Amino acid sequence: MANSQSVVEVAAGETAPLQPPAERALALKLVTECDLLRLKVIARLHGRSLPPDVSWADLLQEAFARVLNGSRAIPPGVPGAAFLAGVMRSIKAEHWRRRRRATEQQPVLATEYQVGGSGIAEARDPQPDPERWLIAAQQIEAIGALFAADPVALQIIAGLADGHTAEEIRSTLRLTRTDYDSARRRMRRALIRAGLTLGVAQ
Amino acid sequence: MSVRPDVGLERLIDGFEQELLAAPDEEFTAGARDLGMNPQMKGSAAFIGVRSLTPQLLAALQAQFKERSSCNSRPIAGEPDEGSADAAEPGTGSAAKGNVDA
Repeated sequence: MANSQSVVEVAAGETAPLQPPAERALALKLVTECDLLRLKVIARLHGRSLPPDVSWADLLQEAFARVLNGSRAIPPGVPGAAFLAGVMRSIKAEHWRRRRRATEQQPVLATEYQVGGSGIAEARDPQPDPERWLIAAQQIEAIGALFAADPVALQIIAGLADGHTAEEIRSTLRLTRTDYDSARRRMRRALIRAGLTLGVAQ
Repeated sequence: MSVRPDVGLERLIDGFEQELLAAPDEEFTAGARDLGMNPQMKGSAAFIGVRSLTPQLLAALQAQFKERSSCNSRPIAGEPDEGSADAAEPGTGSAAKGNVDA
């Protein structure tokens, strides 16, 4: 059961309820209850490309907190869920930048694990840190496993990862619009299931 | 896949994100119901991690809160507990704001 009644100690032995940022955003009508489910699924997806010490829930709560405290304001006309998804993306990028800077401050360790290339080559074409590379490879495999029984979905995934547009993928795979839309619907269903399931998403 | 795994994964996530943002609400409620959850119910398991604080976030907020409480009480040390009046509103923006920089 979700516990929204966390407490903070205000004085010795005295506690007061602490409202999670998502609850406050809901109360302020920045998002709907269904948006919370949508954002949970999206946060779990973004969480796949984060190191294990950063959870998808932290990423989501931090995004809400940034919007609520005004450090990221939702522009007029932009749906709250879409904006919050963007904030999560930016927090994630920030996290990897910080990690990269920390690695660069340890030149010996960095070189030992570097996949290849000199310092000059790295400046031109930065290699990801090995941890990020490994996490990504594992997660691509895990996402593939979600669609193991759906060869069309697997081909769409490969196309998306290669940077192709929906139209390019559809014409390469010679799918009718109906077949393509139906594959997308199956993919969404699998993603939503994985994103809302209890415990560790597959 | 012909790109680096990290690049491929980010493209994949971005593509999925667009799909999910455009998906109708019914797909999410149906997905929750398939898993035996009822999002309409107060405290539904579908909202775990969203409408509750993670232990890490709770700890960060509590640390921030204690820090703010002690800062607030310092200038009026010796006076009765008036400084704690502000501190007694933990769900307000100030607590959440503190978290952002935590």
